[in-house]
Amino acid sequence: LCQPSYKMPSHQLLLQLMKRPSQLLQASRGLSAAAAGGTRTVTLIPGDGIGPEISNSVKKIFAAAKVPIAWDEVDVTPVKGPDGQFRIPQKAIDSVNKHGIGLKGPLATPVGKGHRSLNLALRKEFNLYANVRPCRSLEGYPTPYKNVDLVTIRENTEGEYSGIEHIIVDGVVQSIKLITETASRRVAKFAFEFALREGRRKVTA
Amino acid sequence: HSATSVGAIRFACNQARSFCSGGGGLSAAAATATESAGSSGASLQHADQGVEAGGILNAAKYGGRHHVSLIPGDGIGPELMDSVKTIVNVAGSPIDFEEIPLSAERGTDEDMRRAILSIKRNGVGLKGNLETFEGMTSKNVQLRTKLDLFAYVQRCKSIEGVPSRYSDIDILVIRENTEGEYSQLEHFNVPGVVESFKIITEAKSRQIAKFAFDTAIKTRRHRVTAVHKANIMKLSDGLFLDVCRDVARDYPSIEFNDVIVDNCCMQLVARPQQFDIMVLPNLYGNIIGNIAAGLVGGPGVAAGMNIGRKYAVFEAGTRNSGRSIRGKNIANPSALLLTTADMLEYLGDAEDAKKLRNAVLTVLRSGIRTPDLGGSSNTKEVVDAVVQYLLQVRGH
Repeated sequence: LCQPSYKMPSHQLLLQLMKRPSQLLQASRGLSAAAAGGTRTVTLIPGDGIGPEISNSVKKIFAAAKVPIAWDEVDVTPVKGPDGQFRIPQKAIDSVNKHGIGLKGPLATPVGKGHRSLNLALRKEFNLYANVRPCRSLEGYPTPYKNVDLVTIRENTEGEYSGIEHIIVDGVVQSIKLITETASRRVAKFAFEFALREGRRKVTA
Repeated sequence: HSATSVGAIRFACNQARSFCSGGGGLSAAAATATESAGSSGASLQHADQGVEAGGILNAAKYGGRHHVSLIPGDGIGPELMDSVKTIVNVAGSPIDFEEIPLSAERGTDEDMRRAILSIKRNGVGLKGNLETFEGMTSKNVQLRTKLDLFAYVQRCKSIEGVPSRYSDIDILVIRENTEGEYSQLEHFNVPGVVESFKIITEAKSRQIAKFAFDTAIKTRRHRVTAVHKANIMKLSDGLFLDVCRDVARDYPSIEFNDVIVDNCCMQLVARPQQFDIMVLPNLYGNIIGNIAAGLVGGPGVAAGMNIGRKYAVFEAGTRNSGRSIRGKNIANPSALLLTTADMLEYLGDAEDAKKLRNAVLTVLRSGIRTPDLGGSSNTKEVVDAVVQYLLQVRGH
C-alpha cells in the first residue's frame, strides 16, 4: 500500500509515482500479473483528515491523465463483529485481497486511548511486512540537503508496535518490544533483494 | 520544594549574580525578567549558556579546591581528558581530579563499586564513554541508575563560526535518564523470539517533568514540549504524556505542548527553530538529542550533563567513544571542554566557566578546527590555541 508522505502536495506525489511506477509496483510482493492493456482496479482508502481531499485530487489527476486505473473505494472504520470485537469491515478486507494493491490516505490513531492503530491492523491483516519509503530530493523544491536519494525499509509488523502493554502496579507500566528472528530475517532479505533489484550498493541496519 | 532536590533548582547565594531572577521566586517575575544578562536579543530570550548547569553545591571542596571524580573511559576519552587537565591547569581553576581506573577492559564489580563510591564522595564527576562489548551490560547505564542521575540535559545552541545548515537554534533537550527502554530487561521467550521491556513509571515521569519546568523557569525559557508515541504505546507513553500535562498545570507561565516522535524528527530537520525545551523518555531523548547536536555542529561540540538529586556527572553530549579515531590526534576536544565549563558552572565558579567557554568559542570562531568541523587542525593545535587564549586573558 502506498501512503502519501509528509506534506507533499498530491500532484508532486503523483509525479514521483508516475516517474518510476514499476519500481513501486515491483516492491510489493504477491502481486497478480498487471493487466496488460486493460483497466486495473485498485482499492482506495481515503482515510482521515486531509485524506479525502488528497484522494480526490489523485482521482481527478489520474482521470485527466487517462491512467487505466479504476478505484474501489472502501472505508476501514472499525465495526463491531458478531463476537463483539471491533474489526476492519469485511468489505474492505475482501477488496484488498481481490485487487492485491491499494492506495491509502492517512489514518489517525487516537492518543492514549481509543481504538488501536488501523494502519497497524491493515499491516497485520495483509502481512505487509516491509514499509518502503523512497526519499529523493525533488527538483525545484530546495531543502537544506541536496541530492538526497535514500530508501528506508522498515519492519512493519512487530517491534515496539506489538501493542503488548501492562500496568504492573499503579503508576508502573511495562511495554513489550517484540523482536523475532523470522520477521527480522524476512525484512532483511527484502532489503537486500530490493537493493539488488534497484541497483543500489549499500544496506545500513 | 525539598532542600536537597535539584529539581527545585534553588541557588546558592553566591551564584545569584545575573542568573537568579528574584531569588527563590519561581513565577512570572522570572519569565518576564528584564535584566539583559547578555542575552542574544533573538526572539527567544534565553539565559546565557551554562545556566542550566547551576545546581546545589553538594560537592567536595578541600582547601577551597573542588574534588572531581574523573573517568577517562575508552576510545578518545583518555587523550581528551589529558587536554582537559592541561587546560584546567592553565585556566587556574581550583579543581583537583581523582582519576578512576574504570574502562571496558577493567570493569569488575569492585571497580564499579569504587567508581560509584568516589562520585558519591565528591558529588561531581567528569566521564568519558565506557564501551559496551557484546554480552556485557552497559557500565554507563549502571552508573546512571545507581547514582540516580535521573535527567540528561543537552543544550544545543548554534555556534558562531561552526558550519551548520541552520542558524539561531537553541534547544534544551531534557531526557529521562534511568528508565524507559534502558531498563535492560530482555529475555528469549523461545529461541528466535525476544522480549525487551520498556518500563515507564509515574514517579520518574513526574520527576523529569518537574525538572523540565523548573529548568524552564530558571533559564527564562518559554515552552516545554513533550515528545512521545502515545498513539501506539498508549499505556507507557500515554502515562508519560499524562504526567507531563499534569505537571504543566502547576506552571501556568510556561507554555506546554506535545508532539509525536516521528513528526518531531521531521520538524527538527525542517524547522528546528520552533523548539525550545523538549522533555522526553529515554530512547527518544537519545535520538532527538543526537539530531539536535548534529544540527548545531555534531558530536565534536556537544556538551551533556547527567543530573540527579545529589550527584552530577558531566560528559560529552552525544556520548561517543570515538574508537575509530583514537590515538590519531584528530578528536575534537571542544565538546569535553564545553562540558567542563558547564561543570565549573555547576560547582559555582561562573567566572571560570565563562572564561573557558569564551576561550573555546573564540578558537572555534577563529577557524582553528578539527576535521569533523571541516577544519584541518589536529587536537593538539586546538588545545594549544585554547591555552594561548587563556594565557592571554590571564595576563591582563
